[in-house]
Amino acid sequence: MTHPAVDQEAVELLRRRAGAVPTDPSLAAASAEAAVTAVEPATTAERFKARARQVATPVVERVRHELDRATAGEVQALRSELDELRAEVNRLRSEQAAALAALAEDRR
Amino acid sequence: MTPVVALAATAGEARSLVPFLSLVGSGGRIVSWHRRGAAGVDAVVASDPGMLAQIAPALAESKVGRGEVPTVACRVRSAGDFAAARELSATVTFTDVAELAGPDGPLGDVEPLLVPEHGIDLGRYPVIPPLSRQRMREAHGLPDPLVLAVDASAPPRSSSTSLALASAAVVDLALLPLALALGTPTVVDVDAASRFGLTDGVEVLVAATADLNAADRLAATLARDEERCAALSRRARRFAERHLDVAGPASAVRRALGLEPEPSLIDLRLEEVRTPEWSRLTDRAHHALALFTMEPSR
Repeated sequence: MTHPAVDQEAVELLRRRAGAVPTDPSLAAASAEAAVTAVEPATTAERFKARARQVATPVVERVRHELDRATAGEVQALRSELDELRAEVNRLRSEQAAALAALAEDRR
Repeated sequence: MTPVVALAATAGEARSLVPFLSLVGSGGRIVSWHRRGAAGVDAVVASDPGMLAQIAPALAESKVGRGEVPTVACRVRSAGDFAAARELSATVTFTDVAELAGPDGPLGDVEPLLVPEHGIDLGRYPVIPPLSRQRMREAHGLPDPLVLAVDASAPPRSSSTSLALASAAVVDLALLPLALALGTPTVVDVDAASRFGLTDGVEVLVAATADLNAADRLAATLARDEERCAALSRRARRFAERHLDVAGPASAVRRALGLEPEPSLIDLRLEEVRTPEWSRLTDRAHHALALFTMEPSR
């Protein structure tokens, strides 16, 4: 999922933090249930890693959702600002072109 | 395809057409007629009927797009000009002479369209009432009241910001349209007031003498009178809407020249209540309408 307001590094940081402390027990249970069907990893380290990933995934999704909701207003405001800036650029472009045309007409 | 709008102007007349031309040619390419010629030109803005007469043969010969000659907007400044422009098949005429335009004018028609000499694009400058100014000052840590003297020597960004935030301002002739558009409680000199047809105590306060200190003192007194500031602000904006807006006539000329489609009903209604095209309200209105029409909103 890509979004102008979402920075990949920040998401990685969130993922690490969220993965360390699963806040919702139901999500942790769901992840544990899902882990049963997962392919058994070969080593202990890999097993821990896979388990951590499974526990973290729903939490990260929730955080991502919360983040989207929290920043929706800001995103809308930024989009409006961007539209205004685009309009300003177009206006300046038109003004410059009109001034150049006027100069050419006056100098002929 | 991007429309091409050419300016054909008599020497010395071109500069005064720049603000209006930039609005008419907005979204397209703006070129010089004498540099570019008729090839590929969709519309022409002529400074006067004399210039239109000069370029008429080239216009008649040119074939653009679907075999049509370019449409022409011609500025007129007298009844004789108007007749000449009509004779030369101008698509639309406009004027900066207030007495010539409107249903009460000598021509008694919908044309020529009035483009105010000191006009301003009001859609670009929404009004800022005194209460909003006060909040903006608080947010920016500025003193309250804030009384400023603003003249055209300041950079444009600086002067517009000053006029947007001031409790009251002493303004010179060049910046008066902007001050009125922003609803700035304003003090001007007698000359500026008479040039714009402003009444002392109605849209602005007029400093009786040319003494700048007297004008400053008047502005300082005004800034402390909230009710008066609110009334002046409201009436200044209304004056700008009635007498200084160039976006409306520019849009009408664009439609006449075939550069802009006729507005939808919702756009007309939004324009009636002076809703800027880029505002969130406009977006919401289009989104809401899309729910009923099942058409994608813009």
